[in-house]
Amino acid sequence: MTDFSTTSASTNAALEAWLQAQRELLNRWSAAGNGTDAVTDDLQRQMRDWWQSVTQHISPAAQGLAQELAALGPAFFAGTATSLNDLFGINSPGSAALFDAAPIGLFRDHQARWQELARALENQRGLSQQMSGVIAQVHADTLEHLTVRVAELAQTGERITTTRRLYDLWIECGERAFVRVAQQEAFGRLQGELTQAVMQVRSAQQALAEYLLKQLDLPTRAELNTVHRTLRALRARVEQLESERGGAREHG
Amino acid sequence: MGETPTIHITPEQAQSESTALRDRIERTLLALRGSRGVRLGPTPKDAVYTEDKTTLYRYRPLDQTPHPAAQNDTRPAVVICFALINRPYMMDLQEDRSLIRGLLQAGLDVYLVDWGSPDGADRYVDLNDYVNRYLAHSIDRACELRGLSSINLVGVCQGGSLSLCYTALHPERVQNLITMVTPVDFHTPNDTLSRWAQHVDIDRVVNTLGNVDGESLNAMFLALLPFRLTSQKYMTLLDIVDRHSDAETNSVQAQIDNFVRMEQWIFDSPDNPGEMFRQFATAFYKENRLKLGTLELNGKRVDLKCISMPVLNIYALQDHIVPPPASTCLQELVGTSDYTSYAFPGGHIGIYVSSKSKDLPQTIANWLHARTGDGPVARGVVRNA
Repeated sequence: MTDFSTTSASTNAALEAWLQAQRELLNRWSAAGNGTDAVTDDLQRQMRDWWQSVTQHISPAAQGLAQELAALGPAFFAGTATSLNDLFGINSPGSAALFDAAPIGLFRDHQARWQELARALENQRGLSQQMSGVIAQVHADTLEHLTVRVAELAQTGERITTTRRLYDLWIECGERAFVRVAQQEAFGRLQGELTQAVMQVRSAQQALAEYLLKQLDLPTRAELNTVHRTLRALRARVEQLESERGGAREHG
Repeated sequence: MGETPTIHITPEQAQSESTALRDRIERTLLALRGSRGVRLGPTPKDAVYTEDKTTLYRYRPLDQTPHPAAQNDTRPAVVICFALINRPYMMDLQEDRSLIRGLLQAGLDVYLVDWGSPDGADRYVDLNDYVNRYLAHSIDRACELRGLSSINLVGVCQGGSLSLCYTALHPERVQNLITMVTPVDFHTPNDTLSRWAQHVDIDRVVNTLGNVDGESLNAMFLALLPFRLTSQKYMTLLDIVDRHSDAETNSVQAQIDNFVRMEQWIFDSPDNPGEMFRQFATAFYKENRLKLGTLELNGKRVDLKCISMPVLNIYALQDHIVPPPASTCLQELVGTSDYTSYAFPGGHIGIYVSSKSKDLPQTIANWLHARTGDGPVARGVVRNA
């Protein structure tokens, strides 16, 4: 039996891209002095303006500490940038834990929903990669079949002289290669797992969408399903009562 | 050392052919512009019953005369029960490719159950609703219009499976039963769809999607013959513009229109109510309950042995969706002594629209005429006065 599973490394590309963006931001904040570049200057100006808005109404006694804290800022951001890389870089324990760590804080439910989506997407990505490998194998098998088929035709005296004839033969061989794979147990299992994975992603997306709809006080699918189930039960009850009433009238 | 080439196409020839392909694509696109708004389901009909999304249609006589009064109407009446997966106008695709028109020409009184377009409100409509409510009430209405106690039932594909369930539960309401490309045994060796279904968590699919959308189902059917159905089919479309006319003097535009009608039908798939999909996929595809006799609807067992009226089972020899063994096993499962089998030399769709299907309506009509009206009367049937 063919085993379509392949070993796939956890790439986590989307998370890495986000982390890189955070590291760049922190690096800009931690850059010493002005004139590094326009973006960095602007970010540092924003940071200074923000700190100014916080400290403008504090007492003269607190001004000294405020200035010391401001001076520590760049070094703190630089350390944070380094920590981010250590904690959440590719293949670090921290990055894997992001998916599975128990959610905490005020928005823990929301965090749980995003974690579920991330896990589902990663699972789907892996299975899609396996399916792509299967399809690639089908194309390779098609070429093998085509080679044999062309040789068979040559023996009967038929030469392949048009691209259309070649195309039709490719279709014929492709279907043959595909059906051989499609009827294998392993393919059915992989396709089933991929279907389940897509449903898992969809389910996670729906959970996020329903959360948003609730915030906007809009009806959700869960609510409508409840309504429809209730209507259905009521309809059955009404029909039963009508039937009983009709029977009661019949027996006078 | 020179090797004998396996193909004899020069680079210049390949370039020339690809240039010619561009011309054909352009001419096809122009012809496709003329195919916008092609007419489907041209045979006139009237809605005679509706319940929720289901509508029962009655087709008008081809000569445009009114239907005879019930007491004078001697035409065999047939109710056609189609699948939920596609629209039923496949049976009346165009004037020269219409099984329904053929049945009318053969002297039948034709009714069609149209399941409509389920939406979110139909999420919990189930198998029992389709068999014991919508189909049952449609048959009741057709019988009422004709003053009959029983009627002829034609079940197509999944509609045939539903018809078998209805007939087994209500044999007194069916005079003669015809099944067309109907799956009965869902676990035959070459049933690829069934093989794939065994590994799908149907509950998860339905719990996630609710109604199962038509697009997903279309993709699944395309995946059965991916090379032909996603590629070669469209090359044959390009071939049309190279022809001037075929033996029946159809114009290029008419042939393009035919293609577009088929294309519209193939991809015009309604959503399937979630609960119905769950039950059908689980009970039929996964558990094969219809064949095994373990299916229950509304607390009653669906026993195909209760089907004691005449049965005509039509199956397609090149059917990749319902392989012949999936259908032919019906003979051993029903309780009738009047069983007729008809092997159509074509595919699942060709049975309605190919040139080989032109005689099929008359075949059906002849079989029915021999068992209704002046012909032998099926056991247990009483016609209302």
